[in-house]
Amino acid sequence: MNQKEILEQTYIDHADSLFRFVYFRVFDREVAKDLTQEAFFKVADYLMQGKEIDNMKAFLYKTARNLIINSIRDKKPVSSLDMLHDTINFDIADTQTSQYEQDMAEVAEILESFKILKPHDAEIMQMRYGDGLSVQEISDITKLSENHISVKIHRLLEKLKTHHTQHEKE
Amino acid sequence: MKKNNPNIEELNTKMHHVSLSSEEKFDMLQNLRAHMNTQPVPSPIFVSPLFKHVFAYSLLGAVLITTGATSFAAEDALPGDILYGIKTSLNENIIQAIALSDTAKARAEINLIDRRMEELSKMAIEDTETPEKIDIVLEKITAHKIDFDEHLVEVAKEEPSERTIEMKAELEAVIETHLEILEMIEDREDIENQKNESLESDRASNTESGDITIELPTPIDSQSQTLEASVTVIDTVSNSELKDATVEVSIDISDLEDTKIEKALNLITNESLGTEVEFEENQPGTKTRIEIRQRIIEKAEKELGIELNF
Repeated sequence: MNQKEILEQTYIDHADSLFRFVYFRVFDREVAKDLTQEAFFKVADYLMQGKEIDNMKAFLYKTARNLIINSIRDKKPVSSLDMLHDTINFDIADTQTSQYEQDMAEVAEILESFKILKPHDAEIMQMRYGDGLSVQEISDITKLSENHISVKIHRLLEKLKTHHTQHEKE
Repeated sequence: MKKNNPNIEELNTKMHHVSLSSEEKFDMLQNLRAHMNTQPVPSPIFVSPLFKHVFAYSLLGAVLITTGATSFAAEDALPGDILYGIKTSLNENIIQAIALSDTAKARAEINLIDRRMEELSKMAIEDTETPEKIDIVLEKITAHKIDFDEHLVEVAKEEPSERTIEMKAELEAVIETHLEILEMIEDREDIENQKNESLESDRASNTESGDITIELPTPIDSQSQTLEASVTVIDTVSNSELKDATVEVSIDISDLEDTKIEKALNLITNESLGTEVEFEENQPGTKTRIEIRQRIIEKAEKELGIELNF
């Protein structure tokens, strides 16, 4: 495959998941679209310079992550609950709105619950459970060892469950 | 407060409600393809730094032998010419490939900026410049300047600081040399704009429609092969645009003969200018807008045999 074919295949494989990755961090559909496209442009530029990419998915997400950081650096943090109101207005094909609203409410609740964690830990949890990235992919993106990531995820999951149980008793 | 047990393991599944629509996905893919097409495809051999220099010279030789005439002719090409692509991609890629050190690469970018400025000068002298052509050149100058800055950062790491100052001065000298030409283009555009404003003002003053007049810019987007007109209803008393009173007209002219394109443009102009504007209190301009659209649709189908989209 030449560079263009590689890139198109990457786009077909990852456009939606990368869009979600960006969306659930910036909580703005238009901004998410722009940043997703920008990430693919950057990967295209890189490929067109003849450079090789070992792990395309990790490279793509790493690029998007840098773009997100630059994009939200100077902006006010947005609550997941605020995000929910915007999200409900989306056009959803073949989806019953009530189920959709219910699921989005749960998404918002889970993302809110991550706020008890340190930002870096919350990011790892969102990558693992929100974006469905493997431990190896998270390791590639964050530059932390796979073992470190695995242990962290296990402990953070426990921490979240404990916190939830305590919160329920209250 | 009662909280449901959030199922973290299902987070990914629930997030799947959010996705790009088919249209958005298609548009983005088209943008990506267009972006890729603006970039030269590297030959695998050029990827290796070891062979880069040797092959750049070999390619230059091959170009001169096999396509020498075309490549040479392309050197005089300007934006809008068929050979301009050969000049800016093939010929200039060779110039860039030959430059090995960061200093040489930065200098190559200065030379390329010089070539672009030269093109602006030629167009100004030959009076062939258009906003689209100028944009093409300015975009390329911006890209060269970005590359120049990147190389300069590398130069600063390895060379004495005098070298970067010297190179910046070189670039400034190149720009200043051509500045006079750019000012010439700008002056000419100002004169054009003044003429157009005066023409529109004449048209508006000839339009009798009570307190309302119609402003009619009619740009033709030749690149997308679409003729577009925008009619905005203006309240001449307050000199302000009526809210939501713009008529957007778009005609696909890719399959139309030149005479029909001209007719279509005249049709939009005449129909819009002759309109008596009425508006309702709650929705100013709405009725007028619908009437203009309807008349244009009917006439276009009857007189030109074309179907319009709004």
